[in-house]
Order: sequence, then structure tokens, then C-alpha cells
Amino acid sequence: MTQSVGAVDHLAHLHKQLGAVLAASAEGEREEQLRKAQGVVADLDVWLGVLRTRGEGRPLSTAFREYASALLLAAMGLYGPAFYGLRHFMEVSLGSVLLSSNELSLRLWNVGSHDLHWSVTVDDQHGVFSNVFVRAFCEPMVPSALQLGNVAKKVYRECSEFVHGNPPTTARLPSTIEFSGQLLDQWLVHADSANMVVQSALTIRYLMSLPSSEVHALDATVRDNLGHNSAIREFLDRHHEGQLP
Amino acid sequence: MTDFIYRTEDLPQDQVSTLFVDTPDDRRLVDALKGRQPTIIVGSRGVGKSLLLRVAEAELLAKFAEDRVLPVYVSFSKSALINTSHKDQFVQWMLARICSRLVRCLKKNGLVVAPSPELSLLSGGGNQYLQGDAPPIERVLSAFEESWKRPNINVDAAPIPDVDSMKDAVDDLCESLDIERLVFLFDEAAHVFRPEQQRQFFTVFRDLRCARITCNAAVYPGTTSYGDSFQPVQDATLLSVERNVTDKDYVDRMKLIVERQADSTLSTAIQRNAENFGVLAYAAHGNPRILLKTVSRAKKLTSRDVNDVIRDYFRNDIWAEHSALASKYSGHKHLVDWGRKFVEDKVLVELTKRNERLDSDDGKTTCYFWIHRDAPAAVHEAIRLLAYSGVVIRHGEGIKATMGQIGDRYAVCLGCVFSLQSSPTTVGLWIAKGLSPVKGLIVYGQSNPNYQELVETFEKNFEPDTASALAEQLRRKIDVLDLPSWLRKNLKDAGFQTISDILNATDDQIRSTYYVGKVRSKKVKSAATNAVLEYLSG
Repeated sequence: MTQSVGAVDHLAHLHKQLGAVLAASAEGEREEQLRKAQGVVADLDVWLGVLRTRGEGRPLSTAFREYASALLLAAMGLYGPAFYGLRHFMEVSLGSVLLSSNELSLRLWNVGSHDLHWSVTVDDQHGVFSNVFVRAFCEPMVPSALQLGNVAKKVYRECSEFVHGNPPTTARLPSTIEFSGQLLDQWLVHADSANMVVQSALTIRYLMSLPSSEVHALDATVRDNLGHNSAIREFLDRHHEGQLP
Repeated sequence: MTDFIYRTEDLPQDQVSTLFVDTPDDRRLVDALKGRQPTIIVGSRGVGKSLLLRVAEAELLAKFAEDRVLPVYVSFSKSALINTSHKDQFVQWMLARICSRLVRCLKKNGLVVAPSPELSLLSGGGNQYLQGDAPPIERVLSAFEESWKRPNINVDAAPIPDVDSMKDAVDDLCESLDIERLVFLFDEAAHVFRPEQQRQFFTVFRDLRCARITCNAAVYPGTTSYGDSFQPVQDATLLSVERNVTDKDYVDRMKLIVERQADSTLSTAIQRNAENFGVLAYAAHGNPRILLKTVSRAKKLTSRDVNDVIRDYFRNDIWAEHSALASKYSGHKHLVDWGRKFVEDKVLVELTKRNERLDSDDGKTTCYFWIHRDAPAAVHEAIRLLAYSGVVIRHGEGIKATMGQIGDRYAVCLGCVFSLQSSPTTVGLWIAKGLSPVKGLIVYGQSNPNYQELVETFEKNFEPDTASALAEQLRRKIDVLDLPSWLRKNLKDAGFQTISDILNATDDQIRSTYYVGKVRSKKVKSAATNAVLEYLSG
């Protein structure tokens, strides 16, 4: 009994430390960065509202929750798990998008009889950013697809360095619970890239196939995240003006 | 942040192919370098000449078992350090380096297994090449390459074979080792500011030619002293490495070059700011090193970042690099200074005016000017030095302009053209996409008044005193080196203040003061030494 009280006290102490790191994370300009990263959760919720009833809705929901958890972990100074979480977010989100185009594999995956493989998900010939996939679902995004695939691979590889315990990378992780501005900044830029990749994949796969009311619901989210892409801007403008069904 | 590698020399061999972007133009150059016809590739600093040579080497090696064509990459970057008493010793040093690289290459590819008189000759005598000991030729090479420490020393060149003996040895070796032919790939081949060395190099290049040897080389645009025996068109195919900015997929190709080294943060920024990246790609005017440098400075690639970088780099840095040539080679000072003044005060001002006027015309823009073939030699020389620095790019030879006159057309680096605009990101793409080599071309005739100042001050004999120039350069601070700021700072903190300090440093000294591991310290030393050699080479 005494031991268990000691353990709880210890955990409470750690929790307090996490709180202190959280406060440090939100100081100065980083508060704005964290707010932006939190805004992504809201954007993902909008997508989920549209996709929830589909076969890939459940895994997407899990992936998006993982992003929210990773953000919390990063803000509290648990940087290693925060990078794992980001990788998981990308892996499951992009995997879901790819499998959504193959109902058999998707169903098998949902019952545990099919596995996701990152190399397949981002394969240059048949993956989620491959010419054939993008051409089939969102032709205007074809010119950007190759580079999006490259970004996805790079973020994944850079997050994986924390997952695989590469000594030069893990040596940068604090051995106690403490704030590291450098690691938090790195997580935030990776999160920004991961978000762009996931939002792009969702847009490529669904935007042009959804009914008008759902495109309308997604309009602001897509513009916020992919407004830099003139093809997408143009599609939304034409949709807004009623030129598209 | 992405730590770009700007120089091929800093790349490990296994990464060479991964950074190569296989565009049709570059493929044509690599294939030419692999072919039987001797080829000389010509390009400004940073356009990727060394990478092309290394790619050709890697591809030939990959197919050696099948084709039996053995590439031998030979860098003459240390030519700037040769400071012996006789001019002929430069030829001897080149031959020693070629022999040394050839023997090393044969060993590395498992082709040296038993003693042979040919290998003995190529290594300067004896059979040390079979063991770990340095053969005589290596000792001669070291003596040459350390001659900068003891100027005018006379190096005993007895162990070095002459060209004919070397060719005989190569012939016999190829026969016995079942090698179809050797392909020499000479890098940093002809020192642009040392016409005497250029002449000697091309004489060796010509003399080495035989059924078993194909010579190829990479040179700068300013290289023009070919000597008596070498004929540029008959003895080799000259190919330009310049990339055409008007190609439809120019920006995509330049993007691929950056992408090969970019981390996810930079890739994301490029994706989000594709148009701003396009402006930087055009500003670099086909020069990957300039693009990598400017992209790394532009951080998030916002319009503000890109505008600031274009103004800083193309108004200041590129010109500072060009003007530095005047302080290194005093004999060229008038040419360097006049060239800068001519382009900055005359050509660029006129181009800006014409682009503003053309704005209301048919949308065609310009970055081109033309110089009459019979303009004073000093003018052509000054323009060649600008081409060496990458400020101008030769865009056409023997072009007819007004009144049917013949001359050469040059493009001014688009970054310099953009840098005069108040917002380069706003007009950069418009200028680049509207380029016409004809419309708005500025023509400078045979005796344009702008030449007057140069003609009056030009000294005919401007070949510099290389020995004193070298001594002066070795005393310079390492700030003049083209190194990343973090590396320069670390070297200074470790006590390396001058170029000479770096050349004298051992790996161990760098390691002990810098607290880095063995591999890292070698990389640091190598990057620093490459920057020194490039600086000394002009």
C-alpha cells in the first residue's frame, strides 16, 4: 500500500513537471505556433465529419486522434513519443486514403487481415501520390504530386530517426522531463509538413468526388491548407460560383 | 535546416549518383564523356561540371565488367599549389598525378595482382605498388604539392615517365588486363588565370590521345590558351554545361536538384511557395550552386525572404566574388573592374529600361547583349572573366546583329536583372517567361565608346606573377573562403586564421581542437581544403 502511494506521488510529481514544460512551451512566439498546430485538429475534424461513414472513416479517426495526442506530448516535453505519434498520423492517414480506392483491401485491413506498408503507401508508381492515383482522382494536382510524395517520405524518415533510436538523434532527447525549444520547434515544422501532406492526400482523393454540400463544408479548410495551389483555388472558386455540379 | 553540399568534391562517391538529376541536357553531356571522342565540357563555377564527370565515372565503372572501359578521374585542383623552379615541372606534375591516379584506379578495381614492368614504370619504379608502401611517384607528387611551402624548390622528377612511355605502358597493360580503353576525366583542368598552365595542359591532353586512351576535361569559360598543338574543334568536342532558362521544364529540373538535398521543412516551403521558388530558380540562371546558396538563405521562401535574398546576393555577393578576382590576380584588375562597371552601370541599366518599355509592347523581355567580334581583345577578355564568375553566360557565338555584323551574344544572369526591381517576386516570372534573344537585344559595336576606358588602361601583358600571387593568397584570412558560416566560425575558433593554416593542418589537429570524430574531422578538413583549392584556382 505504501509503495503504491509512493508511485502515485511520483507520477503526480512527473505530472507537475509536465505542466511546467507545457507552460514553457507556450511562452513567446511559440504560443502562436502551438495555436496553429491545434488549429489542424479542427481542420481534421471537418474532414472527419465528411468521411466518418466511409469504410476508412474509423482508421482516419484514429490517425487524427494520434495527431492531437502527439501535439499534447510535444507541448509537454515528451518529444520522442511526439515524433512517433506524428509518424503514425501520417502512416495511417495516407494508408487509409490509399486503401479507400481498393475496397477489398480496405475491408481486410479493417478486420485485421491486411497490413499497411509505408513503402507501398508512398510508392512512386502506385502510391497515394503516384501519377496514376492523382490523375484518377484529382488531375489538376498531378504537377504537385511528385513533390508531395517526396515531402511525405522525408518527414517520415526524419520522424523515424526518433522511432529507431538512432544514437545521434536520440542523444538530443533530454534524459529528464525538461523543455527543449529546439526539439519543440523541430516537431512543429515536421507537424506542419505532415499536415500539408495529409491534407493534400485527402484533397486529392475526395475533393472532386464529393457532393456539393460536402465540398462547401470543406471549402474554408481546404483553402487554409492548400490555398497556395492555384488549381485547387480555381476548383473551389468555380464550385462556389455554381459552375460545377 | 538543410545543410547543402555545394561542391561535388565534398560528396562521398556513393552519393554522387543520388544527387544527379538526369535531364536530357545533362544526359547528353554524360554520354559524351563516356564516349570515344575526346570531350571538353565548359561551364562557370558551380554549374555542375565535376558532378557530370563523377557521374560518367560511376556509370562507366558500373558497366566495366561488360564493356571493359575503365574511367580514371583525375583532379588537377592542386595545380594552384605548384610553385617550383621550372615551368616544365607543371607538365611533370600533371603526368605524375595521372600515373598515380591510374595505378590507384587499377588497384581499387582489383586489376593489380602481380608485378608488371608497366605498373612499375607508371609508379616510378620498383614494386611498392603491390604492397602498402608509397611508390616513388607518390613521393614526387607530394614534393610538388608541397612546393608552395618552399617556393622555387627543384623537385627531382626522374621517376616520372614521359608521355610516350606512358602510352606504351597503357597499351601493354590494357592488352594484358583485357581493358578496351581508359577514359581520363580531368577535373579543374586548366587554371583560368594561368595561360601557361592552360597551354601545357592542352598539349598533354593532345599528346595522350591514342586508341587506348580517351581524354575528357572540364574547364571554365575563360579558358582560351590551348597552346600550339591543340586545336579546340579537331582535337575535342567542346560542350557547354549551361542550362537553358527558356526550356519549358527548366524550373522543375532545378527543383529536382534542390529536392535531392532538401529536408522536409524546405520541401514543404517549396511546395507552399512554388512561384517564389521559381523566381529563385530563374535568378540562378541554370547554376545549381547559386540556387542552393540562395535557397538556403531564403529560409521559408516567403516573398519577403526571396526578395531580400535576390537583392543581397545578386547586388552584392556575386559582384564581390567577381571583384575578389582583381585582388587575387592584380594583372587582371583592370579587366575585372571594367567588366563589373560595364555590366552594372551600362548593360543592366539599359536592360531594365528596355524591359520596362517592352512591358507595354508585346510582352517580350530581355537579358541579352551582343558584342562585336572585332571589339578590342581586352573587352572579350573582360567578358570572359564575367562568364567565369557566372555574371554573364555566353548565349551564342557568331551571331548576326544589326547590319549583318557578326559577334557573340551574352545573357546577364537573371538574378542580377531581377535584383534591380523593387519586388523581384512580382516581376521575376514575367521577365523570365517572356525572354526573347532577339527583341530588345543590346548591341555593342566594334568601337563602342564604353570600351574606351578599358582600352586606355589595359596592359597588354597581364599574365600575373603566379609565385607572388600564391604567397599573398596563402596569407589571406579564411573569411574569403566559400564555406558555410558555421564551418568558418568553427575553424576560426579552433585557431585556423589563414588559408595557409588550413593547408598545414592535419586531420588530428582539426580533431583535437574541434572535438569531432575521425570521420567528421576528415569531412571538415576536406570541405575546408576544397574551398581553399577553389579559391586559389580563381
